[in-house]
Amino acid sequence: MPENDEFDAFYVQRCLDGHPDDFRHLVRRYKGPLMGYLAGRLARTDWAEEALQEVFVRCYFGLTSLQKPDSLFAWMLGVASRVAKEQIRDEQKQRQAAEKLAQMPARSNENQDWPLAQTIAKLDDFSQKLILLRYYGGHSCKEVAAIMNIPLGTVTKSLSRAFAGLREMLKDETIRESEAQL
Amino acid sequence: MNCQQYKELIVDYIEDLLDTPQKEAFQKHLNDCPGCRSELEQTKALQNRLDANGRLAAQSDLETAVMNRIFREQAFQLRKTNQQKQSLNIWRLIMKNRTLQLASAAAIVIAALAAVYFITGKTPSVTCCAWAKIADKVEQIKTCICRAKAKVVSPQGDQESEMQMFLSSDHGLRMDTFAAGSATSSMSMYMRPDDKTMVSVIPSAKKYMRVVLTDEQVVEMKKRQDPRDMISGYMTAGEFIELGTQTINGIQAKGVKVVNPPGMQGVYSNFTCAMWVDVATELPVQLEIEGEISTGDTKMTISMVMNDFEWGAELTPDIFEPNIPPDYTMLAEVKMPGQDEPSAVEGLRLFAEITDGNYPSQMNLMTVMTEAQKALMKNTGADPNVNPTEEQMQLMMAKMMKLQAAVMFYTKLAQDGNEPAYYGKDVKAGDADSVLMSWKISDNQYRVIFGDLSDENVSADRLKEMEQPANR
Repeated sequence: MPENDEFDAFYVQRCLDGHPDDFRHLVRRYKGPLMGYLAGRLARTDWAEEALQEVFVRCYFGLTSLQKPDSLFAWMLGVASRVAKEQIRDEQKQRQAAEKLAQMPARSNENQDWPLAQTIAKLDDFSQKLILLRYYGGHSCKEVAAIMNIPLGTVTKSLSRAFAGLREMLKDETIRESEAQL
Repeated sequence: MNCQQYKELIVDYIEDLLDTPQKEAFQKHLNDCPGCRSELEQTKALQNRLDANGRLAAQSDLETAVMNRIFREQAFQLRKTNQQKQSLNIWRLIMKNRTLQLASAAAIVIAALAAVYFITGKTPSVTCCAWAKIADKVEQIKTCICRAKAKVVSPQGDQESEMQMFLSSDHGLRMDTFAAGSATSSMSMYMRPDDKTMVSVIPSAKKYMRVVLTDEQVVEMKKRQDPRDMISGYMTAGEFIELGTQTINGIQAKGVKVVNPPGMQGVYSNFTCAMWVDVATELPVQLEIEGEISTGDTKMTISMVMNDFEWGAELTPDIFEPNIPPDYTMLAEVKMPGQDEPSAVEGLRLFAEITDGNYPSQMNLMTVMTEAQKALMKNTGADPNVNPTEEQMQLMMAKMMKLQAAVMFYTKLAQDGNEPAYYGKDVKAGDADSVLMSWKISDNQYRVIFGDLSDENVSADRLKEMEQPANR
């Protein structure tokens, strides 16, 4: 298996060389972070899952246009952002989906922490990437540093700032919620 | 270090990234500082929340779903590319292969004939009473034999051929084609309403081809199979010009001429037919047909003289039975396209696909075929020395038939008085605002097909607005 910092470039090249099955490695690596990202934007597990499939399919067929394979994750986030926007625009689809969902039993992973996911979506791009890779992708800080091609110290300092931001926003959220309940 | 500096190390501490002296110093500070302890607890709590939610997100089992979608999409695209490649190769092969050229020419002739045969001449509506009497008389006669000489003048060179036709109300039509001066036929074409087929036999290539008709087409064919339709098809509607009396093959005959009857629209851009009738028997003795087909810059003229009519000749059923020796192989079996809107739209779609988004510049058979062939030849890269497989031939013939559907539909509209209009020269595929084709469906209602092949019914005023050059 290729080293962390060569992982993306290696499997992108494998796919381009005609081994589509190797795209599986990239799906496995990024499904968590991208799911976290889409969940924060679409606020529904089934929509996020549907969007996530679409993101991967588009990414696969768009690999030839990927200029820098070592910024694969940033590129995938761009695709995810477009897909999420499209999905939000498609109001009719959302309404239909809502009607359909109302008739279905709750999904097992509907216990997603939506306030958290939505708060992450409000962070700046850089902090989002760190949080998504570290916690949704299950990568260690060292791996995150390698994937994003930045020093380890920058990862920890930035995570620290991201935590402060998250906590602040979640606190506001909790206050608003309790006010609303009153 | 002060509290602020320690707080910045919290993540490093949780992630176990501090070295031993740093870690010990940090732990010591924690013992003494409730503020930093609280900060650490809150950070840990948030981290646990992130961890839990992150694991949940990563749980989704979509790898298989994603890979399946990718494989499906890939297979679909591959199939599409192969199909395109295959169809392009076939056209190139045809262009390089003499036998196949003949076969494709035969298909054009058949389609043209079919268009004329099926579509032309509703109930004979010969206006002038003298000519109406002739039509009545011809109607009584069930069989006919005649000979024809045809000359085609085109930029590719002139071509002459001779034909013998057998027509029977009960059995159908047979047409044998001979190259000029040759005694053996180069092709025999049989139209057989009972079998719902048209069969072409090409002895020089030991091949035959079968065109399958729908029940509806057979009904249409039966309705029009009597010999009078060859006459009334040409001679109904349009303006008649009396030609006076003349001696033809020793027979005194009176003549009449018709210019551009609706039945010929879609096949010829210009068409005249003169008919000479025996003054004594009041039966036709000669038909002189001049047709002009223009395809953009080039022009092709076809002149045909039909004579030696034997009205009411004795014709046995075996004459109409295709005689196919056992060593002949089938070139193709294809379906005749329907003369309806969906088939026409399908034909236009196929044309646009072949020509990268164009439509035929004019709505006539020769333009459609020539432009499609040109586009295909430009795009091909196949080995011309390899003969196509049966399957490829089938595919090619089926495509040729489909392409003709739009022309056949247009011709039918013209004949039924639906005033069709066509703007393919100025419209590109996907052009949702441009009118590609329109025709009348009632007094104030028109049907419109747009460049993106969507359709709509509109009022006459709205159509006028849409057909303004600025909107096309």
